[in-house]
Amino acid sequence: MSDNPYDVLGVKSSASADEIKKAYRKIAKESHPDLHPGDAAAEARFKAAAAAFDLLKDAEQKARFDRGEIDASGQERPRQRSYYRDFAEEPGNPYRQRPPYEGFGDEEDIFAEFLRQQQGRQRGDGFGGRSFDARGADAHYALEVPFIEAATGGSMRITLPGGSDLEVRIPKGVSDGQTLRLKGKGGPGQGGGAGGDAYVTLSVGAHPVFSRVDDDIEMTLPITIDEAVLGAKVEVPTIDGPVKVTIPKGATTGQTLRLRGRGIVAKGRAAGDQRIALKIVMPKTVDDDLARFMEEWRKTHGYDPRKGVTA
Amino acid sequence: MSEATVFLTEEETLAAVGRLDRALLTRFLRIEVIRPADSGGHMVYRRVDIARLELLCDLCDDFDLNDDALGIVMGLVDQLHGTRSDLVALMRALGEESDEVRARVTKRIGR
Repeated sequence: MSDNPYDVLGVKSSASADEIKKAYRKIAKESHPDLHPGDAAAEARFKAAAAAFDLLKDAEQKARFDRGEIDASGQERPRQRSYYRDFAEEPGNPYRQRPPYEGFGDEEDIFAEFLRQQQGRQRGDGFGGRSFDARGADAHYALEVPFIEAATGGSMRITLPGGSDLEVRIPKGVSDGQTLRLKGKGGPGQGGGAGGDAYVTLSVGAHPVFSRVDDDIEMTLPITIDEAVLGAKVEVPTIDGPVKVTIPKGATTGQTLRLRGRGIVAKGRAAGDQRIALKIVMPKTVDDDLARFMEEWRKTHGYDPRKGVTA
Repeated sequence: MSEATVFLTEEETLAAVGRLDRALLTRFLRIEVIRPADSGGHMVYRRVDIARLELLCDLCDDFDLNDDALGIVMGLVDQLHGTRSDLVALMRALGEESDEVRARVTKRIGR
């Protein structure tokens, strides 16, 4: 497809601002990715049209393009944006709605719905004479979770506007930005209606020592020069408490030790590892003994770690 | 964490969504198409809110939808995505069934 914005929108270069807007609206209506999820061609069409419209809707920019001062992509900044669609189908999407199943009891489960329909058909009361039930309103909370609790799971409390508490069970290995849904913990329902749900979006805090890559925990472990030369057994923190780790003889900075299965062990996923990057740290002061030893040592044991380190 | 901040303040939200101004955000909150999360008494915006605000700006800027229309469209969009998500769950469950079960379901759907 041509990247000429007029071609993209299907208008003549003499088109008025109104015609351009109309053409863009038509394409947006037919292909906005949030309104047509799962249609890649529509998405490409929309993005091209949005870029073209961005360029042409501004009279000054349009004039510059017409004069050839800027090209179709050169001057216009690509739109860095997120699409609702990418969040909308997540099970934790707090805006998720499923009205067609409401009032049947368990609004969560499409399979429960399936069974209820079967039952209804057998009893012959497809619609049922329901009295007025209104489901409670959903509540939305944001919760900062410390790194360790997010990794190993735990329990936290949210203080509600009314002063009461809401207990939130944090499953092992929750990730930053994940939303938990607490069924029935939102506003109370009316009549026989169920309570609304509470949606709790989590922000996972940083840790001074650990960082997380998926289910692996990474850390840097400082070691002394004697530990590096002679090897050692040292205590290393993990998310589940300290463990003894063997530093191999001749360890070097940047070398990584792996503690299998000591990362995040989340339900339904393979256990992560803890990766320990070693870092040799010099003593605070180089004393005479050390200096003297090194002077002697290098006379007969010189080595070149910079072989191949060239520009 | 290396990812973008999970929770944005109102100011940060206004900065993050280029086309959004305070008046428009106030309007979205009033008609309840955006419901920020309560973080210990103050309101914060999540990634899903940012993405949703982009869509709302599209709907307002590009289509001049009024409050009622905006509420209806967003309700339908949320129903559509909820239904798709259920459908995906169902297809995944079916995918794990035996060939025989899948063949039988396929036959029934095509009635």
